[in-house]
Amino acid sequence: MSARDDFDVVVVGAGAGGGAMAWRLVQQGLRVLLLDAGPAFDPATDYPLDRADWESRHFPVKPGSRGQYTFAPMQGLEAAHDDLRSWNRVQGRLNRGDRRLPAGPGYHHVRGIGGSTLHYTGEAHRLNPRAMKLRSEHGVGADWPLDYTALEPYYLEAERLVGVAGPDATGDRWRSAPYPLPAHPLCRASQWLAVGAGKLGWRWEPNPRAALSRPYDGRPPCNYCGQCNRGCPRGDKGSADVTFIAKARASGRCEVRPDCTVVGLVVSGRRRIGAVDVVDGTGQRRRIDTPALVLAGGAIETPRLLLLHNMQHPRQAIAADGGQLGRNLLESTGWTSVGLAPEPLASHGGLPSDAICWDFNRPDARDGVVGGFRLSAAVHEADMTGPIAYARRAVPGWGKGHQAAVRKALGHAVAVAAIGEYLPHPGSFVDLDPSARDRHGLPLARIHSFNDARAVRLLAEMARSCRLLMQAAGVEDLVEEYGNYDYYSAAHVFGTCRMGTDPSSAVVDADLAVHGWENLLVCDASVFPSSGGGEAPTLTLQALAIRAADRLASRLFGKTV
Amino acid sequence: MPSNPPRFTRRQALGLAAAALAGLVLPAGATETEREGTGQDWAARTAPAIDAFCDTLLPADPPAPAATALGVPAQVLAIAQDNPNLRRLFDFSLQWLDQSAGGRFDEVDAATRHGLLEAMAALPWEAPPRRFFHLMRDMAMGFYYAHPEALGEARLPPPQPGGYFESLP
Repeated sequence: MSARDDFDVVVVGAGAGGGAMAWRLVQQGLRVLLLDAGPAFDPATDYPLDRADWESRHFPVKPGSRGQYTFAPMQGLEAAHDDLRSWNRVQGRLNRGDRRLPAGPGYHHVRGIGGSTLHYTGEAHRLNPRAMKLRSEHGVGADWPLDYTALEPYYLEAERLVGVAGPDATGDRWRSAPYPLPAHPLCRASQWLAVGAGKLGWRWEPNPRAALSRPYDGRPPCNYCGQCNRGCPRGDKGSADVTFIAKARASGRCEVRPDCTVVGLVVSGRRRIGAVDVVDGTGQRRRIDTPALVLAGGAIETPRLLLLHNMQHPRQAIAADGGQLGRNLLESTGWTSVGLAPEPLASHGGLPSDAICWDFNRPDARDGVVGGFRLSAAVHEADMTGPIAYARRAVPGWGKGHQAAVRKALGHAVAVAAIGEYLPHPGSFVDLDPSARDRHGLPLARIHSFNDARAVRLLAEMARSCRLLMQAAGVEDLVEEYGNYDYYSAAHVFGTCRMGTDPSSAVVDADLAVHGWENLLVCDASVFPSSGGGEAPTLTLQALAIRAADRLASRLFGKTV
Repeated sequence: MPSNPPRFTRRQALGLAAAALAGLVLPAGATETEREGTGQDWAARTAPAIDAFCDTLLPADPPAPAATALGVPAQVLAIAQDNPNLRRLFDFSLQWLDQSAGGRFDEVDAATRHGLLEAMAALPWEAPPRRFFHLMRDMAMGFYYAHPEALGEARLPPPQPGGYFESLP
């Protein structure tokens, strides 16, 4: 069954990229259908942070809200890097095997209206301009096909829409206007770490955050409950559902359909998409015609959809020219050190990741290893805020002594996280699993990940820096550390539909159009040629989306920007 | 048992159970679980030992109540009773405790129970009772501290609707 829904553009994936794309397209007067395979979430009922058992409830898993995928076997672990293995004071070593493993689901994401912004912390970073020229300036990875100057106006637009609260200092990231809102105050735990950073001569400053520091655009300010990652019931966090998508809907020109899985792409004419095949929440399959298609399912699902199409329709293969589809999978290299401060700091509250150090963010910040990293306050992202976490992970033993120790330790936790550059490697890519299939009978994506010697060297630098900062801050009592050496754990994945000027080495161009396919765009982090030195990708993706929407509206629909 | 048990909960507890069972090999014929009725029958029979185990981990420490007063053992058993592999792990480990105690684990005094748990926690990771100990500790702590009463006077209000402005200077 084919339906003429009379949309100008169909966007597949209602996360950060798809949401921003949809918003800008309706601003241009276009009619948009925004599809997502996952459900809609209701902040008032889905994020019950007012319940006594709040700590038991992580971000909700609803039917269809997690994509399916598999992992190829990962590399073995070496005794030489034992100091990079994850541990905590209660259990000792967390991965007791001799091989790297996925941590829980491994790829941490949300499918649904708002996508992973629903559970994200809400860091609103601009990419360091120096991280956009890795190939030309450092001989590794790939260059971005556009520069920071081209993106700056779109960064500003995204920041205004979301209501980013940030500091006056700009560092490497020049700005044409201030942040829309003043920075948040640092919580007591972050101020504790600031003392340590000061001793080391490191700059420890407010982190730009997509959480309101003042009432803004009809939304209330943050009240520092510290639980952004469990979902924000107030709407002060700038997740895509309460910002871009809400505004797109309000225009009357954007229809949002949750629980709709795209199972096929329909090519119409030479190198042109004509429709998508969709299975809706009732199981009904329908074909939706579209003049233009934007894929925004993320760096795992978007290449999967294209690889599936190419497997089923080899003569109409998409993005197959350069052989790059699914390759260049980048993840976020991470390390976290958690400890207990000697004084109570009420660290269960505060704004997550409210403070950051950019001193090592440039690609050449450390001698002997290409790739930057950043450090940030991380006690909330480490989920060391409630008594369950303290009892299970930080305070060893049991019995009355243990109960007293848990009560005493509460509010003392501090944590530092480092997130760093991950470079392309032939061993890191996405392909189709030869045996595992979804409920539609289609092969699942399979994630391959490999840490090469450079990645391990950078991780060691990151771990050393976290430990140094904790020590300088007087947090001698480390209780847990974890990182990407022995676990695959990624919320940010990139690169599998790389953006570039040359079709032989890239999937999409600087306007996010698939090379050679005028009406097919990719608008998610799969287009990132490099991961950056620990910057959260959401704001950059939204800036790219807004820019690409303008280009698409102009090119295909004659709209003027 | 409280009228509205927390939901630590089934999904998280099952995740812990899967981790505890990963790579674990129980000796063939080590337990007789499969001959003995339904999961509910098994839970009823196992309850005294699990009550004692949970209250050893989390005894009454006024004003904080014991694990049994908050219904923790029942929540643990509800997870295990539907999973034959978990039931076998429980049975094997509780037999280890009984043998080590020289009688029923739930009938020895508190100091002896504490010592038995120390011995269990010190076993090699590959030993099923060691896995059982960590699984029990994780589940019991998770269910127990989901109750605000568990913190006694140190209890925190939930994050919303008031937030935590005390975390700011």
